[in-house]
Amino acid sequence: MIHNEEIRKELEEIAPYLAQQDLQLGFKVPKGYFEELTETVLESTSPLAELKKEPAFKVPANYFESLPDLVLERAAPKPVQERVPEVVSSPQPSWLDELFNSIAALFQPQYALRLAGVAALVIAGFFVFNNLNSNVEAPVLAEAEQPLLEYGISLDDLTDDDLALLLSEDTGEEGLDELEPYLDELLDDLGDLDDEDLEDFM
Amino acid sequence: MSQNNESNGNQASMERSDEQILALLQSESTYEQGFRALMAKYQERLYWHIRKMVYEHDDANDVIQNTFIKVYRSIAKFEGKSQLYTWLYRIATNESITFINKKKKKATSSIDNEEFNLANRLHADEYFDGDEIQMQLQLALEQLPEKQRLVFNMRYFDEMSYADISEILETSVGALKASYHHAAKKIESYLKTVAEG
Repeated sequence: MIHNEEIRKELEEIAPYLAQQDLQLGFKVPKGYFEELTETVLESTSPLAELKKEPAFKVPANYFESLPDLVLERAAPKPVQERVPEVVSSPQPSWLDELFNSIAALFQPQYALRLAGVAALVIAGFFVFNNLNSNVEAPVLAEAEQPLLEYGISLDDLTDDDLALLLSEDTGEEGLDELEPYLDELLDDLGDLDDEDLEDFM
Repeated sequence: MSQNNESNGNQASMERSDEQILALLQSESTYEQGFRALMAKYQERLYWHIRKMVYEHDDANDVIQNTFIKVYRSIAKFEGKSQLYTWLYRIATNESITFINKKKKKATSSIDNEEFNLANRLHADEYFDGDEIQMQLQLALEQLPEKQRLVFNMRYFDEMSYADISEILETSVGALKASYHHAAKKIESYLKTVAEG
């Protein structure tokens, strides 16, 4: 039943059959519903209800879909990778290390030949010196001393170096000529050695 | 707490004017009291407005609660440019339409099946005890476009002025009159057919 006169007249003009009907909705509500509705709404608007509705912690989009793949990727054994040597700055070498390194360098094949040459010269010098000492006889010394005596100098006053110089002036050519075959033989032997032999030798 | 609630309930039971309600809602200390008064005054009207749109009590219950929760949070934005009750109706209408659209998206049945479903739903609803004519009225209303159904409900059942309906639906009075005219004609035709058939 329409109570508003204006609305009733309007409907009678538009739809007279409908205006004669007393249409009711037929809906009802639970008992005491409206008495409780206010409390229900106020409970829903409380901060605690908000916290319950929206958790503070969230996860990225599709996190749980991708989680199994992430775990499997980390759990599967990885291929062994070559270890890159760690670059560590070395401390300053001590003098002992430097000495050791210098000696070690001498045993390198490229230096071995030079070292052998030096050794040959030392050996040759040794032979010359021995030869002079062994071949120099008393008459020679006496003859060499004659000029010195004129200046009041005795052989005993001379040092070894002076004596060697004095003798070489008189007998040096002869001594070197005697030494030459030995040197040639030594150099030939050294020439036959390869690097490995030299390393073994050293 | 229960005493406070009882006290608030008693205060709310005395229907206050919209101005009094809005004044209570301005202060934090009287906000809840004002909100209770607002609900006491408008909850039934809004509920039936919503129920006519969504038909079933459980759905209407969800929508009315969402409506008042929205009111609770946004009442501070009410500028008083419109009447309080038209502002409340607008929120309730929007919530109802949102609910109906969500429900439509979920539904996969055709219009005929939905009509059939509505009859079944109303029969199964323990909170619907209408007779055959009332059932046919609901089915007739169900056939109307949403806007026409809204206009018819507000004009025929709520006896609202076109000016208020215009404010709620933000539609011109002329367009509303046309909608009401079409809706009334369709319902009359439907009910006549049923009565004759």
